[in-house]
Amino acid sequence: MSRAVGIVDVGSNTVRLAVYVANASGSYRLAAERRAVLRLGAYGPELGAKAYRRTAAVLTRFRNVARSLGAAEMVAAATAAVRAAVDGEAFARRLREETGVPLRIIDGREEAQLGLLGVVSTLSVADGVLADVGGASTEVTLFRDRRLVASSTLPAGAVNLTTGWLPSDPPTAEHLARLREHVASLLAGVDWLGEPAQPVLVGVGGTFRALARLARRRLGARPRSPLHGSEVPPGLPAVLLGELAAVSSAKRAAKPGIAKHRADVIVAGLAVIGELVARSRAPRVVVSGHGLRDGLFLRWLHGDDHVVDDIAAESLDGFLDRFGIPRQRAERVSGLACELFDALRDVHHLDPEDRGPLRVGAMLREAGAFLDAYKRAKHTFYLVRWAPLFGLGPRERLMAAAAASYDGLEGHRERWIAAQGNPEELTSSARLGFMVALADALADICPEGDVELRASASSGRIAVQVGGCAGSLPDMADMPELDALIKDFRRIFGGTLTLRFRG
Amino acid sequence: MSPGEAWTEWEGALLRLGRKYGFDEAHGRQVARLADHLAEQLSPLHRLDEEFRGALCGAALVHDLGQAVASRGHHRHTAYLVQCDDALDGVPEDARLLVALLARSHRKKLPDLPDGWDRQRCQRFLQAAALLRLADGLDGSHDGRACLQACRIDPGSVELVVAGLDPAGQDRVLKRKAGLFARVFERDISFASAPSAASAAGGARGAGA
Repeated sequence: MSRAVGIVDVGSNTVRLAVYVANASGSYRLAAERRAVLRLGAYGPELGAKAYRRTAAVLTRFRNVARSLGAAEMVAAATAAVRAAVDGEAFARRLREETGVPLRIIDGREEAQLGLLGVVSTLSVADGVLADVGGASTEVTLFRDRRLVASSTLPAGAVNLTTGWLPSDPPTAEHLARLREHVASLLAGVDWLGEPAQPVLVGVGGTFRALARLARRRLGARPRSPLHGSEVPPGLPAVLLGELAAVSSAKRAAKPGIAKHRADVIVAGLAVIGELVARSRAPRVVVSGHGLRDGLFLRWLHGDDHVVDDIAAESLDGFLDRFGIPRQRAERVSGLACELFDALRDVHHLDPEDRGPLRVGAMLREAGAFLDAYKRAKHTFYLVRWAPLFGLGPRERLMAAAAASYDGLEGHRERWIAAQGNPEELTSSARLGFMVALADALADICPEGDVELRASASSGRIAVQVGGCAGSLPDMADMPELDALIKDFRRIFGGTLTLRFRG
Repeated sequence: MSPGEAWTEWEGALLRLGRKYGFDEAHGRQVARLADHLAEQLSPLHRLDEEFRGALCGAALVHDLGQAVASRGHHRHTAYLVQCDDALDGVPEDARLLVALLARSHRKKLPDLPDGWDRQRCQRFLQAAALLRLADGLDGSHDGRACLQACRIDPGSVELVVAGLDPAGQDRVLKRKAGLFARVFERDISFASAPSAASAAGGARGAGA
């Protein structure tokens, strides 16, 4: 039986709702999201009646949305703006009493812990610095082996820095320089940040997401791909800061990738990010679309803050459940695909890390059949690209989608080009897809039992021996899909392929 | 002009589609009721024929379907599912496309419209999209209480009198959702609260019970 919960995050810029549905198997999905830009961080030291009225209306609406989606429970946390307000405790108490939403003010440490939990449960990062640039504060967290080591909360958020340090629109060069000095001095006070250089800076929060969108447009990446896991060139925040600070907020709001409600505060937010990049000296900047709300949910789901060992596997489980993919068959195809990858490594010459997307793609090959079995390949490609799948970066996800959906070279090429896949990886992705498709065909012939795969290559001829198949062995004439694959082999790998089966 | 036979023909298939993905049926039905009622009350302003009235109700019913794929970008996923899922096999392609495009239009940037559509068809589409957004905004809390009581149309403005709604509580949501209406119909739009009705949308037709 599934359970739903409404998670609310009362932040300094935005109040957000996320409704999650957890299945009995342990998999879960995000069922709905809402947000309201209340700018609580701009109300000053006392929130007051107007802030209360607006927040109460939003929480009531969010409570109703969550209930309509079956959520019997809610979990709600308030962060810096409410935490710092002189009337914060009374504000939260009254909201609890009058809206029924169990709002709790969390301190900076807990906020960092939950944010980190959300990140490491959805991204493959083990060591680095996590930064959450919010409206009224920035949390920086040092993590090692996916565990919190140290955290600091700095009174430097996009909204309060704009209000306090950038009085003109656009800001003058002098104001911007003073803002940057101020942020740099705050970060200099974080003694664990700076030495040694961090392997990665992970960013959460609206400013980081805006940065990721701007980066995709600047780099020519297809705009529509999940933001989560996007990498941003470390030098880009400073470049964008210079460009956006030179124009008014009205002009910024007109630029693609900048939401209207963020246009006036993005300069301050980018200034913080630029100083974070400089101080952390991280060669990689990765944006996470998951953070505090996911941490709150996972704590509710598991009862504690433990981090799942294999986030990709857990995410795959959810995918299989959601689209009715038979697990046993999926695991069979995935196992065979991995054996093919290993057996053919001197033929495909792919990066060993591509075994990951191959494995995922093989598991999800049947996803598209949930929509329409006759056009399974096309729909599988779509679902693997867009449905939530953690533990894969954007490139890996596209490779997994290509691997999962391979049904011939023409279809593969069309989908790869339409998705603006890297043209230099067309052949690599086709090789992954070929191996998954071959594994799928082999799973028909050898649905169970141990299979031995051996490959040998000589003078452009590759022979793959498939041993250990019980039962009747195929007549190749009766398997047009195998015949088509063998024809594709020459175009994808060069050389000819011979398959030999033995019992 | 009512949604009529077009809607009746599609409703069953769309419900099957929605239930396959576990959609929020109550919210879908409520938005469909509201959309249909808005179309009826605002008929002096638009030129929606039976085809568009039916597609409006259909799109309203399944507009949030894409949440089953992913919450982020769900409007695009809704359009994909409407166009591709075999639960709608048998519904004519042009009808599926119209419902898909309308559903996709319930939030964010409007989609590009097909090259072959003439100006009148594009205008009808925008009118229907505007009504759908408004209907979705009226049920922004998903509580099913909003009921359109009356509609006052003036040369430069429209006022909707709505029961079961606290405009102050939802003013920013409604304002955002009403933005397209204001642009398409070139009229300011405002909302006034009426006392709650005993039942919701008693005048709506063709949107299911």
